[in-house]
Amino acid sequence: MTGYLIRRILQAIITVFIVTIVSFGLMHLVPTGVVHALVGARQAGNPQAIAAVTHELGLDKPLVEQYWIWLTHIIHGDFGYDYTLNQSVGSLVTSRLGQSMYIVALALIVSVLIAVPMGLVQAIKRNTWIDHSFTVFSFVCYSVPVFFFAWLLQDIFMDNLGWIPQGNQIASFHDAFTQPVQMILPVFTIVLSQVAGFSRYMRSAILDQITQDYVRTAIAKGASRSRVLYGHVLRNAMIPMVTLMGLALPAIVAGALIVEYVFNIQGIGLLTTQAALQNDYGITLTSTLLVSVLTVVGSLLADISYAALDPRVRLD
Amino acid sequence: MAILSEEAASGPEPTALELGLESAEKPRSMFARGWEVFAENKLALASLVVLVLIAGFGYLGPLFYHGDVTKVNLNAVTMGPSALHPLGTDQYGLDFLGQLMRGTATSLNVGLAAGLIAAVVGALYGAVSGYLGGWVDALLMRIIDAFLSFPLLFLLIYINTVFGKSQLTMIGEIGLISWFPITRLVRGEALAIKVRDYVAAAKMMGGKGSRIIYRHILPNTIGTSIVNTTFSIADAVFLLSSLSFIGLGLQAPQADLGGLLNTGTQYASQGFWWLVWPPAVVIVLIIMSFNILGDALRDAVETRLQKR
Repeated sequence: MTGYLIRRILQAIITVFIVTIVSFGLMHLVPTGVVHALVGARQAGNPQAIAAVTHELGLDKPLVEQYWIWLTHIIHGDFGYDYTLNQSVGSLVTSRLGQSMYIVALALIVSVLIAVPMGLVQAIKRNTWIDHSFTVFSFVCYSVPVFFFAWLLQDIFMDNLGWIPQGNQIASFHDAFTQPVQMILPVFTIVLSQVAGFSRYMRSAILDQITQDYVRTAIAKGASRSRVLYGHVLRNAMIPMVTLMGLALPAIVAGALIVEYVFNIQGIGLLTTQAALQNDYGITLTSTLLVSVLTVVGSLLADISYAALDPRVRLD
Repeated sequence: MAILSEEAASGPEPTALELGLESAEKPRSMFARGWEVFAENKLALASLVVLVLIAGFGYLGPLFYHGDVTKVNLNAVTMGPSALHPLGTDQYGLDFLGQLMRGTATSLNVGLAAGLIAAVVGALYGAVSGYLGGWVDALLMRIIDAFLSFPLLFLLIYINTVFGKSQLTMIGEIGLISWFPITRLVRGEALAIKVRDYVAAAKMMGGKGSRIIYRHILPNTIGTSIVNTTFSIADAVFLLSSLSFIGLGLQAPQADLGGLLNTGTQYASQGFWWLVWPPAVVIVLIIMSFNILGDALRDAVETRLQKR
């Protein structure tokens, strides 16, 4: 277990390192120069701001040294200053992180809670009309873009049926908690787009497990059908689900960006979209970097819990 | 003339088949055998037909149907479907069927081109990485891991603000961020192929690495690459429409289907359904058909399922 953990954590650190190099490279892609990227479009003509940034980040030094200075800054949580919004980029971005992570976590949990029984029913009733109709449902969900689901749910449940009040916006992490009704549609939008992949996996995993020797042994020893199914098969089939959750994270985070746009949730996705509309490179890049690092950490946590759940991985 | 008649007199040479040098049945190519498996899949055939129809609608439609998509007509804004405008008009009085055709073509252009770029870059990178092996492979794959952990939409938004928004830049941008999954698969196959005897033989005869990759590894991974090109086309159409939907991709007058939806959904609450449902249905059909096609192709290139 320790060996696996160390290897996996090292791998994650290397990944984060590469993510920072890529981000640093992307920063230098800005055609008008990196200073422009950091001070924001509207302040590009402000010599004071440009001088401050140039000096602080050592932009007159060699590239490797620049990277090192930049890296030390971001490790200390200093992502620069947004002269347009007159706020530090770090505090701006982190104030939006909470509600976005809340949506992602909720969507992930609800997806699994729906997908597991769905896949189980499909596996038990395989090749019946129930199985086939769930398969069709999955395929449709998989092909409908998440933004269209968002609009559709909003149109049906907010605008037409009026079950969920319009116009309440989620502006903070506090709002996300105190207005659970407002979170229903955003979360279910992502769930609809994710449940297909999860339930397909669940169905085939259970069908895989049912043919294993231990199932025959359990039945031979007189275990009841439900004990074999829930005590053995389901447990074994669900373990790799943890890894799958880790793999689905980037897609869910991208989905969160879309629902934040449609449902007007002031999360990191909406911040990024609005910053991009104003060519504010600093905020766009910082949020991309932060979201990517968090995704790496999320996948790492998924893999660690996978190792904790499955003894076979530990022996490796 | 004389030579010809002389040849005719001596009669045709016995063919290899008549001499028993070749089997009576002509060996069929991988593609012919794959097509058999593919053709049995009715759903896949149906999605192929749907895609051909959509491509015809987008590319050939404007040749037959001349709806006005450029001249603003404020006397005819947001009119419902009629004989003159089969899909109504938008908020500027422009014909929506005409716009839908252009949007479909744009979505397909970007999707096909970006998907192809992703396939080529991904296959090359994967083949080189798998062939070289060792620490180079380890490093190249860690880079892929890092990119796979970027939520692509965020990355795309950033690159998009840097390089700008036109059909051509969108192709490059989406192509450049979509090749990572293909790389992994091709690299896995390259690892298996490079230890085969024929690769060893090619090396022994002095074949260089580039030749082995180009002549042996890439042709043997073509099945995987084709299958994943269809998936990456679906993903590219999806990414572009997502970006356009949030107002950061292609907008009118060069809007793709997502861009049309962006405008349409802003007016949908006023009951202008024709501005929303047609582009939505076309997007879903494109993405779904390419996904079904990919699944069927995966079966088709699976040699175990082919009849010899």
